[in-house]
Amino acid sequence: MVNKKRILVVCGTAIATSTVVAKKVEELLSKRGIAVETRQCKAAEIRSNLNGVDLIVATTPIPKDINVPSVRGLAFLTGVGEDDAVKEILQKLGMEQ
Amino acid sequence: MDFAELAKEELIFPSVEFEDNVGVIRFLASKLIDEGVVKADFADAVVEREKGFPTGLQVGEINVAIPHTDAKHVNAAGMAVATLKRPVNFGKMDEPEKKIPVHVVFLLAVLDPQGYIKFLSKLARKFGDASFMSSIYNASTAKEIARILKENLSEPE
Repeated sequence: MVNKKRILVVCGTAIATSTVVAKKVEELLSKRGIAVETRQCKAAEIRSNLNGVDLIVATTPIPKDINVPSVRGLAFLTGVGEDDAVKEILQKLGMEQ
Repeated sequence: MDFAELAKEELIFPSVEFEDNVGVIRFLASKLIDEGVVKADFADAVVEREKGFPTGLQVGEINVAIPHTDAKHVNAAGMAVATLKRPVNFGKMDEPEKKIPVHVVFLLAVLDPQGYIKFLSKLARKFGDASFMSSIYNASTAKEIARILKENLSEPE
């Protein structure tokens, strides 16, 4: 058993969008046999939430100097481009299948 | 929560016209306030949030925006919908400095995020469906839009 990867899901105010995206990311990865732990935060609070995070999935822009890999997350809200976004997550987690 | 219940005919406004995104947000917010769905400070809170964190989604020919704000401004889960005769510009959620023309606005009253999330998840999935979006945008009556929303949102998981 590999350690669960930790994904930080970021949106503007952590009210609605990030919850939808977090659930979707968990569901799609679990379909591929990968269990992840997601956590949500507001874009403004990203720096204080990076501890132990393997990947960021964000629906808003994130600061360029954050040195954790990130994937754009809107695909997980609308479903448009979702397969590519999943592939990008796997690639950035080093778990290409 | 019955998702179909959120698509209320009296809160759907087809082919309306506004100067800008603030105009359409304030109009829809006033309808939610009149219905008691949200509190009086809801409109200001949504407009303010939209400035910092815009909610425009570029999904195809017909784009959408999903303005919303914190639950503390909300009395009950709800939604008001407008289709715009002339699209108005919204900032893009993923690139806030970029503006996109938006044709359909879903103003969301989110009370309990957990319950609402399933609804929003289902609704947002439909945004990428060009035939769904054009059927909403081309519908001429609130009744027709409510029917399309109900059909699409109440189908089983």
